[in-house]
Amino acid sequence: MAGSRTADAGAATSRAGASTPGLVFDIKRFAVHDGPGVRTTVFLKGCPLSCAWCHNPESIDRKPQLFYRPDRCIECLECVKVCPTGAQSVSDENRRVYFREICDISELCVDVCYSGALELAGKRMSVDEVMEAVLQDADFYNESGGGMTISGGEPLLQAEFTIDLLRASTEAGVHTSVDTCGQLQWSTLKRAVPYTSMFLYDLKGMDSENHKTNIGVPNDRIVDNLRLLSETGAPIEIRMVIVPGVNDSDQQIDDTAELLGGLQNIVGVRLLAYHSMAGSKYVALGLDNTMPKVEAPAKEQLVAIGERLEAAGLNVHLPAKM
Amino acid sequence: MVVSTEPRRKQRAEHSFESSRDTIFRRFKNAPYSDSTGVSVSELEHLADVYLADHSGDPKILQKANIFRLVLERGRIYVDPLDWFAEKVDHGDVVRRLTLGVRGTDTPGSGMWLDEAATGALSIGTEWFDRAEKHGVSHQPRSGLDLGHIAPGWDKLLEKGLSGLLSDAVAARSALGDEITAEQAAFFKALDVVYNAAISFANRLSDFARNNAESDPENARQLDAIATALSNVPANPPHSFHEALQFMWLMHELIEMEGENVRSMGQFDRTLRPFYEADIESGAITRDHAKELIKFFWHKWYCGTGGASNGKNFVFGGQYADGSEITNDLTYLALDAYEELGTPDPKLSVRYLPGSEDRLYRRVADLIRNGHNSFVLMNDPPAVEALVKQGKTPEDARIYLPIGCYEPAVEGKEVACTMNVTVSFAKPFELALNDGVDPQTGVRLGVETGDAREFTSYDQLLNAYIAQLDHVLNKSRTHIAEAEGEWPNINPSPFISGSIDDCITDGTDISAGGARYNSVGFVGAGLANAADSLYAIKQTVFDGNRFSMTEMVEATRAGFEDREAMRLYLRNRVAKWGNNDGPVDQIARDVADHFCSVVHSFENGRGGKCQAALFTLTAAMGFGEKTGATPDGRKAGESLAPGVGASYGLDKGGVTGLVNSVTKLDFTETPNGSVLDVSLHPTAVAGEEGLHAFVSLIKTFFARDGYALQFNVLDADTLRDAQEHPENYASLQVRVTGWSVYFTTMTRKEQDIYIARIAHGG
Repeated sequence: MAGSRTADAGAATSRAGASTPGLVFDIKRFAVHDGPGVRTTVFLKGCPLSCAWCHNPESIDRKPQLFYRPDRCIECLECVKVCPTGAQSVSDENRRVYFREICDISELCVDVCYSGALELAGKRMSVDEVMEAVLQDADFYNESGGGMTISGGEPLLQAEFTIDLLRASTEAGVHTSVDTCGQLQWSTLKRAVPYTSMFLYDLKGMDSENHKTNIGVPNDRIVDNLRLLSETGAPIEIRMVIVPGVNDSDQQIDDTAELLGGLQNIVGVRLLAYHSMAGSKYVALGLDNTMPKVEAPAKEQLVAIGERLEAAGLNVHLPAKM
Repeated sequence: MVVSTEPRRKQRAEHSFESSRDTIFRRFKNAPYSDSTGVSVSELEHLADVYLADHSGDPKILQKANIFRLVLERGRIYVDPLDWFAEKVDHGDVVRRLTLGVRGTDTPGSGMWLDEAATGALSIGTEWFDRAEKHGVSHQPRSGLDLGHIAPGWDKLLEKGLSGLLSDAVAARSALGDEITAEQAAFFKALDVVYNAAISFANRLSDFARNNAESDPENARQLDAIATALSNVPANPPHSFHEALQFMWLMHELIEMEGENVRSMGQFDRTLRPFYEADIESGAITRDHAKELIKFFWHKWYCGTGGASNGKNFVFGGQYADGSEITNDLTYLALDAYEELGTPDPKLSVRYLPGSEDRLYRRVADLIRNGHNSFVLMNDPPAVEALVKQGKTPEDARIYLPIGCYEPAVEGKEVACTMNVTVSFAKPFELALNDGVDPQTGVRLGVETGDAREFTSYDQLLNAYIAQLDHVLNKSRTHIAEAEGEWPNINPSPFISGSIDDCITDGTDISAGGARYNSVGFVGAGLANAADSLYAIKQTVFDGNRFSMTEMVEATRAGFEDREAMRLYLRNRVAKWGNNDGPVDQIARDVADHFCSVVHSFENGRGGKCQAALFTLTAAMGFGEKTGATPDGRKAGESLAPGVGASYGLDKGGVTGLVNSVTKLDFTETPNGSVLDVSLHPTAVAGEEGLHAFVSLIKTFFARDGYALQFNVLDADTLRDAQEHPENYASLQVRVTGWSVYFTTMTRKEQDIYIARIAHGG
């Protein structure tokens, strides 16, 4: 299968995309649970899914957004002076206010907000800029067997940038991982295969109806793409966030085990415990907090789920801290 | 090799360490001395006063030796029947009253002779140091004399015993013949007095234990062991692992009683290895019993501090003088014992070589992430090379001991005075902005470097800063050298001197420069604040024209009052040390290089070298409180940056950026040590992947020639909860600076600073 991956590479490669900047919302260093070794994870903005429990709500929208955290504001009012639309304004009570609905994300306010009350989620970066950041930690990758992970959002929504970045990283000798949700055209996902040392593949649940309710789409394409991806020979780690009462039924777990047990190249299944600690980010983005009001899954439950999956011959990683 | 042998006598369950530790702790603090064993402290004080009055014309070294003898011969004694080690004499710090004052602090106030010097021969220097201390310019022991960072020659003590050293002294004395000076004669006489006193004292304890063993069959096993051990050591080399431990513990206590603070208990897994292996080989001891003995032994240090502070270092790993690896079964056994102890005392250092086995990394990293954080991890290649650069032979450099925290000294050959002075990198910056006058108090502390508001170039600013820094260094050097000249009149120390080369050969006490290597430590604290402030002005005044020098001077003087936006710009929008940013990192490197080269150009008052270090310990907070706002956006009174790392919360590039920056410094130029404090969130090092990442982080730091690391693996929420509910966190250890303490023993302010650091560090 490795041979066919290489063959695909030439066909799918397009140099034209080399100058496409990406919209990056975070670069996290010393990431240790996003693939092997010590890694730098590059988070790209935009996602075709809208999971109710999303921990990075700034990852969903494909455009830059503003985080607004009034508790940091020192009311210097510089943002009001530079705002072209009046979104940054002063109220009748002489308090600084932000009308998000008329904001066009000029970014001018962010430039003058030294307190960090206004922060941009989503920065345009070139492949070279990202690689410069990534390569700073090359010594750590070499020591640990680590590398770069591209995550999101769904990184392959920015397919040209992601492919270019993967290619640059591969050329620099840096191990690459892509964390994908799988809700893509297969032709797009396939393009990443030649440059991706390992895929991290998110499974949100096996009940398609339930999937549609909580995620916004049925799961057919995700499952189909996973089958196709496994056939390419690319190593895949499955990642599942366990949300109690949402995607943890015995039926769903058994269906997961059945699906994965029948696939090649699944190197591991990583269970992640849902937690509701990202709520403040929703507030800072002016969004409704959609996070389910449920407790994190109990350790015993995760162990039980892990055992059901292991029974299908899968290599399961439980959360290190439970 | 581990030989599994049944203990010769089955250990009674009720005498396990766990069942004894609390009782031993209580009795250590409050020993039930009986009047039948000796005279009270007030009587000792009286006898000492009488002795001193009768012998006021004698050399100080003999006066002190005889008070030492008096205490050991006449003081009340006690042996705890639950313990495996004995040392107790009710000495009341009668000896230390002469020199350092009472035990237990880094900068003990004053004994009689130190007082005399401070107000007499050393009055000018003492006044300078007191003023420097008060204004946050520098921090040092009283009068600039570090009598508190020392270690004896452990190997030599165990190899020869005190009788062997006395024989050496007789030979050395006769070799000197008629050429002998009065000072040398007094030294040999004093050595004779104190070593014989120690041997008699051990016999007193031995007899006490023997007598009690007969009347207390329940505890006869330990009492017998103590009686047997102390009838042999410290006079002679130990016969067993237990005797070797007893020897070292007794030496620790007697040296401290003499008036020095023992800051390294030696290379545990080298010095004790032959005794351990012989006992295992012969079946005299099991591995489990050896571990139990180590726990009893280490518990003594915890008894001394209660987990509130610490400065007693045991080192593991590293290399023999010939460069071969030390790590062995005893290394891992001791780490197991430490884990089971669960206390922040003593503190452990582990030295690593390029070939050190993975197991040593993983074991230590695993202990740290599970809350046993009393570890410093040291990188031998730069540490050894730094010592060689200062003129030590490679063989000597390889057997360095970390003194106190991370300050190396050659075992048995060096008196390093590693904490002689700590100089703030931040205060000279404040002085450079204010023409040498402290803006807080109006007191002139520095030299005149001109009105900074009129500076027109970055070089002008840099030169002013360097002039202020050099002034402090020169003043410190001058007054330390003066103090060293008075050392023999303040704290002659024959008891420890005999174990250090070449004191016996030369007939010279360590206080008179008798050691092979005599060093003085200059510690630079707050490197990040200096580098970030220099860079902030370069960027925003001279390169960027965002602010004027006048604004910068006036805003910092006013503590950024009404200039919060300016402060936030300086703090958040200008690159900072610790983020792998080229230009600011270069400034840090330049400041560090300058500091080290100036220090290394100094000779000290004992004919030795001055050696540079980069770390802070508690000075980060102490200096911070006395330093006004700085152009890096730091508010007045806030702590300086800890260790050699970034300011609190400003290592935004994460731990890898911090490592990449810090390893740009040249640690072969910090012979007196350095350390990087790293805070990691528990999730980052959880599980097998986390452990692998943790070890990789350490190895990468070392491969990039970093010097030493210390860690906290904590989350801020846990610490906040511990503030509110201390009762639930009695065992929570945090690494504060060079040592670990129980979190609940810290002040609220220390806790708050600590939490801020953890919150930003993860």
